[in-house]
Amino acid sequence: MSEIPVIPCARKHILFALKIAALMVGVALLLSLARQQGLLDGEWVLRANFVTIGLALAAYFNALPKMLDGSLPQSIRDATVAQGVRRVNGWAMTLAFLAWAALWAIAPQEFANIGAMAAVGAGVAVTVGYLVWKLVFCRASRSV
Amino acid sequence: MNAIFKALADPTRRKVLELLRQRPMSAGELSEHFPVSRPTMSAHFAVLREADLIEANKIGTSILYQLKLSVLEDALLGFTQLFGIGAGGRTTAEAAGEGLPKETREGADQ
Repeated sequence: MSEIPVIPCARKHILFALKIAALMVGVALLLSLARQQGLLDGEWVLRANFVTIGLALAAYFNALPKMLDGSLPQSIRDATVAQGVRRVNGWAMTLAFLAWAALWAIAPQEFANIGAMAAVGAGVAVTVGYLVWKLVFCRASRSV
Repeated sequence: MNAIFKALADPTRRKVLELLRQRPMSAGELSEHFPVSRPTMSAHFAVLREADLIEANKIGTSILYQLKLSVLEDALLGFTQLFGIGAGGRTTAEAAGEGLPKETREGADQ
C-alpha cells in the first residue's frame, strides 16, 4: 500500500525543504541590499535575519511529524516508537525555534544571542533524551 | 484546511485521533472503543485519511492506523478537545455519512 507513494512523498519533502531554504536565502539577500542602500542598520538586519531563520525552521519542524519516511514499519512496537519520536521532535524543535524567533524579535541582543541558543539546545536535548529513553526502554522490554 | 476542520469537528474522529496518540492501532482495535457499526467507523477513517491526519499501513495481515499530525494540527486537536467543539447535536453516524469521501483508498479498511 505505501510502497507506491514513497518517491512522490520524498520529492514533496525535498521541495518543501528547498522552499524554506530559498526563503531564508532570499530574505537574507534582501536585508543585505536594504543595508547597502542605507534603509536598515546592522542590528535590524541581524535581528530580521534571525527572526526569519527561526520562523522558517519552526515551519519546517511543524511539518516534520507529517513527513513519514515512506518505509513500512516492521512491527507495531517500531511504529509506536517512530510516531512518538516524530511527535516529540516536532513539538520540541517547533517551540524552540518559535522561542528563538521571539527572543530575536524583542529581547536585548546579548540576551537574545544566549537565550535563542539555549532554547534550541533545550529542544535538541529533549529530542535526543526522548530518543535514547525510548531506545533503552525498547531494548529492555525486548530482552524481558 | 477545510478538510482538517471538518475532520476535527466530529467527537468520534477526535476520539480516534486521541487513541492514536497513545500508539498506532488496527481498525479492529479502534472500533472496539466505539458503539458504532464497522461501516460507520470506516467512513470516519476515510474522512481522517482524506484530511491527511492519519496514515494506513499494512503490517502482516492487518491494517495499522498511525497518526500523521503536524504540530499545528496537534495543537488544534488539543484545543478542539479542550473546548468540546462540535460535541453536541449530531450522532456520529450522521457525521460520518456527511463526511464520507467519494474515493477511498482501496483495501485500507480491511
